[in-house]
Amino acid sequence: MKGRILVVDDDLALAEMLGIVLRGSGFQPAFVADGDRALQAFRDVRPDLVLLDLMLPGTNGIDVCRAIRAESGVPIVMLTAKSDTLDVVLGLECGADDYVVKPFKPTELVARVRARLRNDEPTAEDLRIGPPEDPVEIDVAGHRVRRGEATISLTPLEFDLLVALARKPRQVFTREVLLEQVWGYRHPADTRLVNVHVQRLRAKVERDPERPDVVITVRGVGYKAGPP
Amino acid sequence: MRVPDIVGRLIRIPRLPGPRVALRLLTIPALRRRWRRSLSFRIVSTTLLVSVVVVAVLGVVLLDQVGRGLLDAKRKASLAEVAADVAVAQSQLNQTPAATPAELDPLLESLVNQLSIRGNGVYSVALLSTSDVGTGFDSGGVRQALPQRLRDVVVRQQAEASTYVHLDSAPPSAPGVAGGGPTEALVVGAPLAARTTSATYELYLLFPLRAEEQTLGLVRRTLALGGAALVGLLALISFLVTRQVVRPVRQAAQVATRLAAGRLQERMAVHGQDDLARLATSFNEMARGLQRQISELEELSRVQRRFTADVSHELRTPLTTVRMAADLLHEARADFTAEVARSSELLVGELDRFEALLGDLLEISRYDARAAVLEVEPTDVAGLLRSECAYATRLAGDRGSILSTSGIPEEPVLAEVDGRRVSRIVRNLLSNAVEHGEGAQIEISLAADEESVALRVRDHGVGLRPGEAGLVFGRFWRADPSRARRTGGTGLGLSIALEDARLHGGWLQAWGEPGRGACFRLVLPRVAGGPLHGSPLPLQPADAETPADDAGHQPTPPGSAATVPPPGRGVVEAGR
Repeated sequence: MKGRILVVDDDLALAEMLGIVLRGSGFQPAFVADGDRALQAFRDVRPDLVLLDLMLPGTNGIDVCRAIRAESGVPIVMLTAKSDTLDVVLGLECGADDYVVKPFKPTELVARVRARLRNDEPTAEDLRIGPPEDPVEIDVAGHRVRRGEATISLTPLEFDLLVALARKPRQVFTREVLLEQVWGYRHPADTRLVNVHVQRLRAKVERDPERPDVVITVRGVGYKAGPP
Repeated sequence: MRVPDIVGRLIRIPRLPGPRVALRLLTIPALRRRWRRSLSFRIVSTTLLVSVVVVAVLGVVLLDQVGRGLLDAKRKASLAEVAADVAVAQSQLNQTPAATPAELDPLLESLVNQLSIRGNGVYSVALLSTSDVGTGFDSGGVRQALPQRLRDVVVRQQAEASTYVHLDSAPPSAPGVAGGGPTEALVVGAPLAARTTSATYELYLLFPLRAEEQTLGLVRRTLALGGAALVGLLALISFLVTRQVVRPVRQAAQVATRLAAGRLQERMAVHGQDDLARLATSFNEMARGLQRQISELEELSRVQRRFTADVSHELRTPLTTVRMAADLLHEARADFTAEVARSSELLVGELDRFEALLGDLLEISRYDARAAVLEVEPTDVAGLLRSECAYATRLAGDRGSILSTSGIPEEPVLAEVDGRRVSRIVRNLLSNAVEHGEGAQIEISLAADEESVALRVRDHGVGLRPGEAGLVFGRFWRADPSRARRTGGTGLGLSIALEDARLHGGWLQAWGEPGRGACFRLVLPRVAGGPLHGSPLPLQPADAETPADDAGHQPTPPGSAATVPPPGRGVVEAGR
């Protein structure tokens, strides 16, 4: 099982405690306490997942998140003391896949990490969504997405989101259902996660994100795969 | 003429409204409004009114004086003329040798002609016989104008007399010169006697007052024109003077308005060192003082809010470590001795409370910072209420309370609300009911009408003492400080619930009586931001409408708080 986790946190006690908990759950944690050295550490460690504290000395968490996302689709889970709209949404828009609000329980953290590292046996499956004349083609086993000639690079989370929608075209998914299927939440959670990542996904797969034809919004309900 | 030109130009200096605007400005309500609202309008119009009265009175008096003076002079001159003429006539009559009236006639006629020539158009002459009524000589129009009264006086008293008469047309002032229009005239009469015939005659001189009238007319016109110009000038002067005073006052009013609107950096311009400059200076000092105090207060409250938020945030990181360590210990408690295992249980339990308190503190500080944002979407309030009740049933079971949800309708009740906040309100009301419900049944009901949805949580616990219905929403307020806390409420739950209700524009109210339990009612508009006029559910439950024997407390009709509210607060409600 994949299990290298880079913990980016300046609070040494918390980092050590995180290490204890993560090791106890079978992961291999690595640590960096400084935002400026986070990207280098990321390149050195090549983790399977990053636990990122948003409040860091030096380069702040949002910038670190953006820098990592610029070169990798590796799952990023933010640790934040603020559940305020702005901070969390900003982090999600910069590419974080999920977030945990301090103070969290160890079980909660481990559940979030597992959900992001969950590695379903890839099924040999080819899916198409979007308008028939210009579909988005998904090679599930090969983790590849194409539209026309162009290969689209998606993070694992965006890929999961797209596949979830594409497996049941024409079915409308509520945000709660998507949170459960893609993020692995078993109880109601923040639906902004879905909104932000649908936006990010659209920015990559849609010809015109303002008028989407692949991931369609169903007003008042949720989302479904195109064509409309 | 030059004067009106100057006046005209002076009047045109201020911008005069166009004719149509002027008409509109002259309607009675418009004038009344201006009178109330404009100091300069009031001063100018008062000046105008008073000066018109003063000038009119002055003009009348002046005109009267001038007229009197003119007439007096004319009269004196006339009487002198008459005296001279009488002397001439009497001396000629005395010297005549004629013995009969008929012989006298040529003399009389020549006398009239002679005197008329002497009069040179200033007066006309008539010589009338007293005894032989109807005979006499007239140089023109005197006899027709002659009032009988005057003749009577002259004849009876044999003395000089005079009176004023009105002439429909003036006699020709000189032979060959046409007479003028109607005019006033002075008639003077004097008796004459012929020595030889002992006949008596009367000599009458008619002085038309045309010249005097013309003079008086000129004076009147001059006075009128001068008066009008004076009034206009006075109005203009008062306008200019008041403008000097009113402008700074208006400016002060404007600046004060802007200050009141929150633009604290607004100041008045200070010119010179006069009283108005002093007004501006003290005004500015006041504004500066206000600005300083307000910004100090703002800064203080900002620092305090910031501090609360920072403390809550800063506590979170160490709390996370403690939490994880405690959970780790708790999970391994089977390996510990009984005391250590129990300690770890207590640790985890208290950490839960600590976390809840911290979360509530942060939430309250967000409300205090006005950073709370309502995120509404159509929500099934009935479903939400049922699921919260299901969650609370477990908690209530520990205390022996039973949640009765029969008052929640089966069908969905949709309303535009922030589901997260409404859930939190319900959670707080339920945990409050469980904590104070003494293990008795707790009834939850929901009802909706066109514009509002109301939910009510009723417990049968200790209830509220009079006055407490307003206090329950206070931060960290406890009915009885000595009572043990069992469910571990933070003491902020109802405060947050009240803020949540207020954010929705809804009401959150409490009712309670000692020994009869308490009832909390939440009323929310069904449409976000919609009006709220009433509630589909009364605040006071139906079973509590009979008087309470134990408390001796008089209940009030349903729909109002049965508790005696603290002064000035009434039923404690959020929102409108």
